[in-house]
Formats: sequence, structure tokens, C-alpha cells
Amino acid sequence: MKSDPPDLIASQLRNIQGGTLPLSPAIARRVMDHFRTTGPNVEDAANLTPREAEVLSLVGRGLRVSDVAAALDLAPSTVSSHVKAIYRKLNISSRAEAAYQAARMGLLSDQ
Amino acid sequence: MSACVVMALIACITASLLALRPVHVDLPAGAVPTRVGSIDLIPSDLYPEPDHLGTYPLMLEFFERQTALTAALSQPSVHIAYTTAQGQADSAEFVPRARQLSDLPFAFWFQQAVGVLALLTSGWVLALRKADWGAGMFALTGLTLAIAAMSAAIYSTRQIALDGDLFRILSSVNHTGSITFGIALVNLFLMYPRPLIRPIWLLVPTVFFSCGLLLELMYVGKEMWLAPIIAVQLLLSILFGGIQWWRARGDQVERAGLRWFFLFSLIGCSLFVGLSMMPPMLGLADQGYVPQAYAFGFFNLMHIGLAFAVTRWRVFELDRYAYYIWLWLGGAFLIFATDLVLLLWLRDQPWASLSIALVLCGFLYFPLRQVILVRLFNRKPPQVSELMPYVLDTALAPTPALQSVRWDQLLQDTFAPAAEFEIPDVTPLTAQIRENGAALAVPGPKGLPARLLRYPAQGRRLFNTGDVELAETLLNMHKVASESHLAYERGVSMERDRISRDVHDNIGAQLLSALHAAEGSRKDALLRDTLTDLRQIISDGFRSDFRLADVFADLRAEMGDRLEVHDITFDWQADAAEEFGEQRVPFLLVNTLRSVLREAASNIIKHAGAGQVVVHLTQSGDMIEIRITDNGQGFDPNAVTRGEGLNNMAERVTSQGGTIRFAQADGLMGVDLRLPLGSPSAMSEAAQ
Repeated sequence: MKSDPPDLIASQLRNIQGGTLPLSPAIARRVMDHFRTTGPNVEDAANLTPREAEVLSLVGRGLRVSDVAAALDLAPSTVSSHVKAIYRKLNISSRAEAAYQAARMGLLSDQ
Repeated sequence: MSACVVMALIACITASLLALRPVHVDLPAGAVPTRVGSIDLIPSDLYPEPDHLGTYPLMLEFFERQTALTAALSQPSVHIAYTTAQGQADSAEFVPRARQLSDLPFAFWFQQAVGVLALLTSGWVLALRKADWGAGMFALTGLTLAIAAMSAAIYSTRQIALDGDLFRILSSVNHTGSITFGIALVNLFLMYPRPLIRPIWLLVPTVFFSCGLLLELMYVGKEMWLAPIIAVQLLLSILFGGIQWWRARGDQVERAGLRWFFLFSLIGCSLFVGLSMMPPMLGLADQGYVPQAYAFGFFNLMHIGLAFAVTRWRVFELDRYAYYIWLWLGGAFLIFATDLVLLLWLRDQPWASLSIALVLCGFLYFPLRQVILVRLFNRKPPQVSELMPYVLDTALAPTPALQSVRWDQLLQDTFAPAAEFEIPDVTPLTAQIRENGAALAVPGPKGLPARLLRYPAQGRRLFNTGDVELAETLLNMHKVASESHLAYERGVSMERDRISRDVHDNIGAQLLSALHAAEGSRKDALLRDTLTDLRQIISDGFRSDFRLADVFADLRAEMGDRLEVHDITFDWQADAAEEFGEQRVPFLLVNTLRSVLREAASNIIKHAGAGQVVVHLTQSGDMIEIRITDNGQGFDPNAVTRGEGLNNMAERVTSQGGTIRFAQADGLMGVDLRLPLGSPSAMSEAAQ
């Protein structure tokens, strides 16, 4: 991310400010892999809903939240809440834990 | 060695035939004759060894009496007076008959055995160490001992008399053997283990004692020359042996070996001279304390000593392997003995008719014997396919030293030569048989020394043309393997060169562009690109590739986010997005795509004042076509001085074998990009 153009970083920060959690396609693909490899969880709450999986898949293909919303005929805020739910199901409650989980899942080695 | 076996056999047979010439009379066991015909016997007539008479006149008289006695015994019938074993005088008329093998006493066979053992040991040492003076002299002692013992065996075991002329000849042969033995012994200790003098000086003792031998053979003077000559020879041997012993004081191992060899040799000779030869010569006794026939056995101590020394201390540089030859010889003898026993046994069986014996031998014994022989002595030659891993191991060894070690090991395993490797004096171009099959000269594979292998299969056989072919096969396999290895190494080095060139061409060129970029943000963009490339190279190398669908997903998200910040609507039209699917592309292509799309986005944001951007992706064949259009003010690609940004784009695309075109149509500014896809490796080849 260090080498991303500055305007890109600016847009991402703005999104977070506006309540949209950033989810890059690369991370979306990693998350999909994670859920795929861990398989169906015993606790139902820990599994992605079909809608969430759909959102994740589209984000993984490079669609932005607004594109996903258009593609699935949903409001952008709904898509954002799906993204948040996905993060929650990764069992991350703080930023420190996010960093830890990401390292554990190999997300940090990406960039 | 085999020559020595043949020689021993011939000598043995000749001696037996000569020993069978005189007639035999059937005296009662233990009887000693006192009168033959009209001749009264005197004690010396029955001496086994007339040398003990001490003077030539007595010797000549002795031979005359032997001739007369032989004549008396040659009559159809002869009256012989004798003393029985109980000491009573008796006499009877005897009819002399031809002597048979069974009439020959044990003493005769004992001396033959001494000679045979000496001959075989000589042959053994000589066969394994040809060019060694010490070994040569040792062999000579064996040969001369055999001559002395086998000739003495004939006359010393005569029943009553032997023709005088034949007796004198045999005696001369015995003396020649004895004195030559002494010469060889003196020379042996002069040369072994370290030469005390230059070989040419060996002529001095040789000529000196040969003159003595001549005096002895011609019966010059009255007193016999034989005893003093042999005494001097023995003293000289002890002296030189002592010097050798003293000279070897620094080398414990050598000394330990010499101890046995010297001790046994000198004790053996001294016992013979002291117990058998000297007492009568010095007038201490009429005969030796030990009968001469058995005293010859003392000399075999020398051979036993050598055998000891070889096993423990490698005397004559012979190793344990030298015993395999005895094993082989023993095996052959055992087969012969088994055949003989079977034959004798069959002869004594009442049920065994000739036909049954033939059936037994033909269908049972011979096939069985053959099977055992093949099992024991004919190991299957190694298969080429079995050798391949070892050849590869040798050819691919990382260092020349290791290669050399493994190559030697391979030769060792394949041919099992009994001797240590030597380096042939003349390096052969191809594998060659040398020394009548005893050795095989093998040229070294590239960079390795040539080898001379001796005594294959632990000395059980000779090298043959099969071995030459096998050695050639090994050499060829080694050549092919090492050439492939070289080619591989060349490939690795080419790949390294290619990586350096790629780093130079890509990273270098990009850094250079960044260095020359005037504008700060452009500099930053170029450096960012370069950094991305570099990181990619470090983490994955040039060979890494990417799933094309992922690449486009990332680019789509990134571009969309950037344009969105500037309120530019963005449309990504990829009718065939799914088709890109699993296709993998090399990272250089990915970076090219990324930097071109980024540059295009940057240009639109900065200069175009556009409200909408459309990216259209299509794939035709192995070409990917990307068309980026915006509704901004546009520019005339021919009119504007193309900045570094455009040039950089163009360069990267061209280096990937693609094309880029800037065109204005229907009020829309467009960038048309065409890049070849295909296999990642083909791509990087194209990139070169």
C-alpha cells in the first residue's frame, strides 16, 4: 500500500470516515479462501450468509461498493453493512486483533 | 603363477621318473644290506647325502662304488646279505624288479612338497610384484630351493645304489641349487626392503659365488668348497639382514613386518646349515642331526614367515588380496581331489558298472559341479542400467576431488581389482588391456587421472575384451552425464545473465526515467512503479505469474477508487471478464498493465477534465486489447510533446511485444492497448 498513489489513499481514508470499511479485491479473495478452507463452521453465526458470500465474491472481482450495490440491486449502505458483518465473522473486534489475524492468515505478507 | 604350477608339476614328475630308474629289491622291512653280490658294503655307501664325505676324492670313490653296486643289482638275481631290524644277520637271493611309485619313501615326497611349496610361493610373489628386486630375489630363492630339494630327493632316497654318473649329475644340480640359493638370499637382503647398493653391484656377490660354484662343480682341490661357500653366504645374509633391520629403525610397521620375515628366513637357513649340513662337515657326526631330507623343510619356514608378514604387515607391498590366489588354487585342487575320490569310490562299488558310473557322473555330478563352480567363481557382469546411478553420482559430484574419489570407487566396485590403483605410465586414449590381461589401463574421464587396474575380481581372473567394453561404456556414460551437467550449468548461468539483464533493463531503466523526471509527482509515480517491480522480483523472482482475473480485479478497484475521488464516473466493460479466468500471466506483463492503466488514469485526472471514463476489455486470440476512453478535452498525440509519462507507457508496452496508440474519435479521447498473452515463459522469452 505504500506505493499506492496518494489520491487513492485519500479516497480510502475518506471511505473509512464515512463508515465504509475498506475491502480491497486482494483481501476479499483471501477472506474467501479463508472461509473456503476452514469449511462450514459448527456455529452457524460464524458462517457467511449467501448474500455475504456474493458480496465478497464481487468485491474480489474488483467491484467497488457502489458497483456491487448496482449489480445486486441493493443500497450501498446495505453492501457496507454486509462488509462489516464479514469482518465481524472473522472474529476481529479491535484493530490490533485485525493486524494479528491478518498476519495469522497471511494477509500482511501480501503487501 | 600358473607357469609356476606347471613348473612344479613338471619338476615333480621328472624327479619321480628319475627316482623310478633304479631297480628295487624286496628286502624285509627295516633290514639294512651288508653285502650285495660280491661287494661288501661300507657305511658311506648308504649315506643319503655323499656331500658329508667332505672331500672330492672320497666323493669320486663313492660314485664308482655306486656304479659297481648298480651293476650288481642289475643281474637277473642277486644275493644280498643284510641285518634285520632285530639286529640278526641273514641273507637271501633276490630278484630285482622295477621300482614303483609306492616304493618311494615318505622322505622323497616330503622333499618334493618342500620344492613345490617353494616354487608356488615364488610364483605368487613374482606374479604380483614383477619389477621389484626384493621380490625377484625372493622368487629366486624359491626356485633354487626347489632345484636343490627335488634333486636331493632322488638320490637321498635311493634304496641301495644309484648309477654313479647320474648320481654325480644330480649332486651337481643340488650344489648349483644350494649355492644359487645362497646368492639369491644375500642379494635379497641387499635389496629388500631398502636397496643397500645400486642393483648393478649385485653382480659382485653373484660373480664371486658363481666362481665358487664353478670350483665346486669341477671338483678343484681336495676339500669340498660347498660348505664354506654356504657358511659365508649365510653369514653375509645375517649381516645384511641386520643392516636392513637397523636401517628400518624409524619405521615401526616396516620393522614389525621385517621381524617375521627375517627371523623365519634366517632361522630356517641356519637350522638347515647348523643341524644337517655342518655337523658331518665339521666332523661332529657322520650324518646331520636331522636327516637332510627333512631338514629341507626348515627352508619352508621362510615361506611361512613371508605369509605371516604379508597378512599383518604387507611385506613386498602385498596385501591380503594376495591370499585370494591361494584360495583359487586351493579351490581348483579341491575339485581335482573330489573328482579323484569319486572315481576311486565308484571303482570300489560292486554295483557300479561303467554305464551306471557314466550316468551318475554325466547327469548328476558334472552339472552339480558346474553349478557350484559358476556360483563360486563367475559373478555376473554388472548391468549397464545398474551402473547408471553411480555414473551420475560421479559425473555430478560438485568438486573435481569428489569426482575423482567417486570415479575410483566406481572402478573398484565394477572390476574389484585386487591391487591399489596405479597411474599408467602411458596414458591410453581408450581402455586397454595391459600385461597380458593382468592389468587394464583406463583413461580418466575429462579432468580426472587415468588409472591402471590390476588383478580383476580380487585376482581370480584376467581382464578380457568384455572388461574393455564395460570400461568404455562407463567412460561414455560419464561423458554424456558430465556434458549434460555442463549444459545445465550453462543454462543456469544463462538464466542468471537473463535476470541481471532484466534487472538492468527494467529496474535500471525505470530508475533512470525517475531520475530524469522533472515533475515531483511523476518522479514519485515512476519510483512507485519501480518499487513494485522490485518487490515482486525479490519475493517471487522473474518467473512468478498471476491469475489474470485477479490482476484485472485489482486494477479495476484501484482505478475506480481513484476516479471516484475526482468525481469521474467509471465504467469497466469486460464482456469477456470470465474468460480471463484462470489464465496466468508473467509479472512483467502485470506491471506493464498496471503502470499503463495508472498512467492513463493520472493523465485523465490531471489534464482531461473528463466526467466519464470507460475501460473496455476484449481478448482476441492470445492478444489482450484494452481501450480506455474519456470524454475530456483530448489532445493531439502528434502535436503534444510527449512527456515522460507517455514515453514510459510506450516503452513498457513495446518491451512486452505490444502496441499502444493514442487516438481521438467521436469526441472521445482513446488509448488503445494491445498486449500479447500466452504462456508466461514464452512471454519472458518475447520480452528479451
